[in-house]
Amino acid sequence: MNELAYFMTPSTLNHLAQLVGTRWECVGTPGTVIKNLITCPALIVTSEITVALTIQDNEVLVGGEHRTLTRIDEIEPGGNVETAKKEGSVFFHGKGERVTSVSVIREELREFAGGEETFHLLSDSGVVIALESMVVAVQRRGFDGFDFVVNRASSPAELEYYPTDRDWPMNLRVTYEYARHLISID
Amino acid sequence: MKGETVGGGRSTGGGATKSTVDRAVDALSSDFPLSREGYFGAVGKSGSENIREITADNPQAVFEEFGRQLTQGAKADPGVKLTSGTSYLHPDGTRVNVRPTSDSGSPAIDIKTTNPGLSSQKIHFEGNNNE
Repeated sequence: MNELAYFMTPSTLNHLAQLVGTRWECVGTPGTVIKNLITCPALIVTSEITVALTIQDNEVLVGGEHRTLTRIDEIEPGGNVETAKKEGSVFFHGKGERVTSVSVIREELREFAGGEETFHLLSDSGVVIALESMVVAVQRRGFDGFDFVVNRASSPAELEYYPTDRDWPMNLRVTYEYARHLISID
Repeated sequence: MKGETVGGGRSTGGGATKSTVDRAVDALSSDFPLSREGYFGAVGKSGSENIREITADNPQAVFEEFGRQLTQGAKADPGVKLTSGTSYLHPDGTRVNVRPTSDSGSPAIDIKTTNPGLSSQKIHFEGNNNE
């Protein structure tokens, strides 16, 4: 049985924690926006700090098969924020509100074949940022995704997430257990 | 405010016109039928539905045909650095990673999509004599 854990680094978690208490500006990308899909890097911008999240390729032999299980990484924002604002590839909902909390989205998948557990995956896939009147989620599009989806709602309970489990359908031979965890980092 | 997708009102075009992904699926599915659930090929060694295998006498040629069809109308995305190959993004958000050599040693294609006629999957292209 394979155990896989792809967590954000302590440095990235520290940067995300520094968002708390700052004023929200926007989330965006210097790349492409299609509906609520944004390509890398995802820029999380507040009055005092910008966190730029990207997604790294990762092919791994697990459960007897080579699969794509991507990993989130942080890069220097550089000039990406200016590019995103210039291109209009940003979402300003909640602009000016204070960030009240930040949580990491950690997704978990267990695969079972013939009754035996073949792999167990834990993978950080994004963040939920709580503002004074809304929450904003920036989430990778599945365990094998190379893009992020952006969702917002009035409260965490109303927030919609990318349906990661739908990418892992069960059959008579292989079954899955999926869970999503929100881990507060402030 | 109910939970909502940000920017969800924006149209990506299309209307009655077939999307670039629909056209690729149409072109490929005459020779490589899709399953009812929207998968190409057969389930691989692991039994996972989303990991597929297409075997052929000339897997390289089949891989190239899939790559050619599945990237028509898509743009190469230099923002995605694959360990091998190129990532493409379609106007509807479908992402296709074309991997001439995947870590398995054989060529592979990853498809990430919300297209109703196609499921997200990874396809490995193998020779007929492979175990």
